Amino acid sequence: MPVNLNLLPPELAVSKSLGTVLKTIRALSVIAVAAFLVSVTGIVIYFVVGTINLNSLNANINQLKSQVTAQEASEQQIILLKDRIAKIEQAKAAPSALSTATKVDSFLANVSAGSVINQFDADPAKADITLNLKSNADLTEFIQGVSSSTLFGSIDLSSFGFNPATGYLVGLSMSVK
Amino acid sequence: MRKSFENLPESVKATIKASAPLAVVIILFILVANFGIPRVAGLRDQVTTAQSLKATLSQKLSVLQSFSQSSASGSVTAAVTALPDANPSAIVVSQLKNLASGGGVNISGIKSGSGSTTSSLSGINTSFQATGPRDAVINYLKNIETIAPITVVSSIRLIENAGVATADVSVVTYWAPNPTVIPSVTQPITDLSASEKQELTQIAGLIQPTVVQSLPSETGVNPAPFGQ
Repeated sequence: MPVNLNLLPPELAVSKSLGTVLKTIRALSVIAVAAFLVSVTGIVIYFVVGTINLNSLNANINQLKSQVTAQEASEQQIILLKDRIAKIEQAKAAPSALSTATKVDSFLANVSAGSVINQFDADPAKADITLNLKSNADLTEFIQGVSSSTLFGSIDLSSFGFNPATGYLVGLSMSVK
Repeated sequence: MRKSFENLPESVKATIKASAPLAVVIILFILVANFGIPRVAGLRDQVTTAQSLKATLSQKLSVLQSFSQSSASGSVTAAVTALPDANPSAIVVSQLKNLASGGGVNISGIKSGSGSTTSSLSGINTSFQATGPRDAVINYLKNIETIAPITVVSSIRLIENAGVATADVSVVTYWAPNPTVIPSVTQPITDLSASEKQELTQIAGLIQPTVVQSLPSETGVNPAPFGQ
């Protein structure tokens, strides 16, 4: 039968509860040391791998930079083209008297060649036209074209007359929508 | 110190001996955290930045290589002709005359003067008188906006007499200085969009002048690459 001997002097003995606490602290210390070593190793590995990765990336970047620099002419062309295109679109958006004139011209499409434009003024906002229409058919075509048109915001009949020798004299003032 | 430690009660000594390794590890943890974590975070940031830069440069290189192989790179001359970088009054007069001679219209009384200027665009006014059969004059007017440089008709006064139409016409022709700087090598770039390519096709379809435009130099590293 085993005999439990304690040869230590009583003043060196620790209480049983303190002994349990100390045992726990020693176990925690071992765990903490292990965790510390694992963490430090992890940080060192991350640092080494990260540095290698960064160096490799920087080498790639330098290579790409030199390749991009070699394409500088293309870059200049793209920048120039984008600049020109943007400004050309801006210029083309400027109000044009031609668009007003083209709208009026559509009224004259079916009018006979004998009709005469006495005066036609156009700017981007409005158009005034005075014309001589030879026949009743020309007058009808012209008025039908004007009345069915949705191209202008307002159309005023500024003058209307008839001369048996020259035909109908029609004056219109039109403002663009 | 050693003597005073030995004089401590056994329970205190045992507690200190057991706790010392734990305390040392905790202090080392704090030191490593203070030293290591900022460095790891800094390295991670550097890697992230480098990856982003690499992606930007790869995309830029791809755009530039694809552009240099595309037909758009040949459209630079047409674009610069459509919107020159200097006052194009001589070119536009030449274009108006060429257009008139091809369309059976006589033009006279050509005058050029300063026009409207915005922050990005300058305009030069040109006025003239076009004379000819009505249909020819109207066709001529319609074709004015198809010439290069970009020209917009600002006013028309047409009078017809004895079968001859006479039009007093004012047009504005635009020009703008070229860009003087290009972005740094690390700045991203985008290729021409579909609408820009479509616009470029329209520009290439404009009636080109016979006068040759000089293009910006494309050789070497030029801090002012468009010759400004």
